[in-house]
Amino acid sequence: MRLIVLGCGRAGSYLANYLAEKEHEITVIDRDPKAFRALRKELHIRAVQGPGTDIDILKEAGIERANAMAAVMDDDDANLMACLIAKRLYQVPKVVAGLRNPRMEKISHEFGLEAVCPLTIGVHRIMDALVKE
Amino acid sequence: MYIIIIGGGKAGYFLTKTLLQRGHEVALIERDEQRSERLQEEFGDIVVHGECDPELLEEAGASRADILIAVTGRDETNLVVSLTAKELLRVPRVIARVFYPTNRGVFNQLGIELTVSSTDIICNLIEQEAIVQEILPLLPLKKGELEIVEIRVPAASPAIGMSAGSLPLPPASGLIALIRGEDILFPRADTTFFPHDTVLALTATKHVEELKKVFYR
Repeated sequence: MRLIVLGCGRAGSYLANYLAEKEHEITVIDRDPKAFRALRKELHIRAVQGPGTDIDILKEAGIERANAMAAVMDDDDANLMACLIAKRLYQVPKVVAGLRNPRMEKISHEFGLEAVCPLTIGVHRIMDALVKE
Repeated sequence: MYIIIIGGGKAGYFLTKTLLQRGHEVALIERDEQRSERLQEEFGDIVVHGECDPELLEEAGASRADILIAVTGRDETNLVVSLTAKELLRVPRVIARVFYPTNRGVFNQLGIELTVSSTDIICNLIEQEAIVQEILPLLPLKKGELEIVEIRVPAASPAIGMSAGSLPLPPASGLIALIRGEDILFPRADTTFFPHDTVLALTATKHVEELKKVFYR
């Protein structure tokens, strides 16, 4: 995969480190340079500083050649905007948004975007654990 | 008209006030509770407090809205709201405020053609004062394929003394109006050009340079 990860928070850095170890080509974008400290140095993951919805930053990060993008910034509107840019303007084959607000999941699907809401999944797992014998 | 405004900041506030004064029906949607309470004190029930999603927009009457205006403080939110209104709820006209000038192109390409960028407006005003600019783009249309441009006719222009009908205009170009001093003229085939005229023209963006050569050597 040539993957761009938007947001180097907990989700973004985890994704980047995990997949870089599996030898995928990863570029991470984040507005805050301190966020890149979460990336494992020995993996040499490329970091681009700037807003993930800025088209110049996305181009610098290689969106024209990317075959995947994960938008896991801390703002759902920004994640959706980035996914729309990736999918509709750059035809990135695989685009996934990680959303905080479960209500946004439905909007993403209506736009034809793949979205995962970690909160919803997590809550279901907790419920399963509570109900289990 | 029935107009839905998203974002109760300064822009949303003044838009609501002005549109109501002009006799339009308005709904104003604001996410922040305190702000929406203050707005409700002034505007009453037309203010809706909530996060903008399709359900809330439906409740606010999006299906009968003529226009939706997205004027929150962030381009990202304005984009999502605009596309929700345009694609999912089929509001006939959607206008969005854009802060980052590079985002205007993004909005246009994603289907939101009516965008307002204060940066661009102010820059155009600044440049209109600068005599250096020969052709000034005023308004992009049709996703940037067409442009309305303003051309100042210099004293040494090859067009001086020629009639509008005999100008070698490039394809997909037409003259809209001629401003001479305080007067606005609508050029006919026999209208001639004088130095310091300002011509308003509609042209395909790819032919702008050719159009410029009609008026400049």
